[in-house]
Amino acid sequence: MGGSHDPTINEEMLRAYLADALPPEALARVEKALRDSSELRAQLEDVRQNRGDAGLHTLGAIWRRGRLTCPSRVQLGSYLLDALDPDLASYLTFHLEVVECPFCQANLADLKAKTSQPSSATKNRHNRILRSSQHLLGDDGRA
Amino acid sequence: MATTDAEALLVRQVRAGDASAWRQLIERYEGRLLAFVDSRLRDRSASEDVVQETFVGFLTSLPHYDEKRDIEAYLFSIAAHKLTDHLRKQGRRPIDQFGSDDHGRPLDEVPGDGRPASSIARSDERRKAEERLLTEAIGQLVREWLARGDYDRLRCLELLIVKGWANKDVAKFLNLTEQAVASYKFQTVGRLKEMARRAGLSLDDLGGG
Repeated sequence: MGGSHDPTINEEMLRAYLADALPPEALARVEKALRDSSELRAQLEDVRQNRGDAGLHTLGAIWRRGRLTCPSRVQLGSYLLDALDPDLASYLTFHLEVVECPFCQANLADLKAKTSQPSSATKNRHNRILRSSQHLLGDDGRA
Repeated sequence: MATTDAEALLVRQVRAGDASAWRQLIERYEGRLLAFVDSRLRDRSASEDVVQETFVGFLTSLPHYDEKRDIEAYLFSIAAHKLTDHLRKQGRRPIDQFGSDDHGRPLDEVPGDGRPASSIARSDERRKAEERLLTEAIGQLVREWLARGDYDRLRCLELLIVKGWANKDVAKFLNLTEQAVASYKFQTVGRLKEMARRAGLSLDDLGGG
């Protein structure tokens, strides 16, 4: 368990890791580095306690939480249909593939699946959730 | 992203115990949550379990839910929490990120520890006020850049702020000069500080270069 770690893992990646907002490959890389490096674990703890470099990094967390550059679901649908203004479409490709926004990636995957997946499988999943949760449904005080 | 009137109505109906509204809410959001969780777990059956727990967690936390908050973001934050719990149980999370008393609530609703409650409440209030201001201020800048098609600036700031890239890496990736990147950053920080000053808050720790 040494001190050095993957130099490409920066503080913003650790913040995204804590917010579960990293894409899968980066998530696996950070998890491995955390297992191997006590120095990185200490840095993660600093980030978690907000002891690290504040300023711009705090803005990053706010930007992600507020989803300030995420397109609407309608825009993502138009993107799939290639019906967006080319400049905006190019920006969305950047947001999806370079920024790797996991929430927009999930929305896009869902929109794609809705056109190909058999509806009975989806219905079965929904019914299973309904059965497991319906007993919690009620007035505000009971919910 | 803001909650629409239709989404707020749906949540009110669920709060009132309307089973049909609950089904609608599940039908609307289950697919994107499943895609999100499965992109991390790569295990469809486990992912379906996590999503099921997410919806149960949503109903359990409904008394704490603020209707002004974006419902999709709220559901994603519960899903992220359930996902972390799942990974922790599998031993894939070396550090306990959220403490043990969060009851599946999103991170920003879980109080810290080690300080008196009144101190937490005061600093929490200030933090929330700053976050509201910054969310609105950055949102306004983003809307301005989008309206005038200034995508270079938008990409540049997103890489600097959201991805945490260094100026030189952003410049190389976007084929800009380092001076242009520094200038975009300086102008943006300056405008945010000015917006904060007008709102009676200080953002001196943002830096500027």
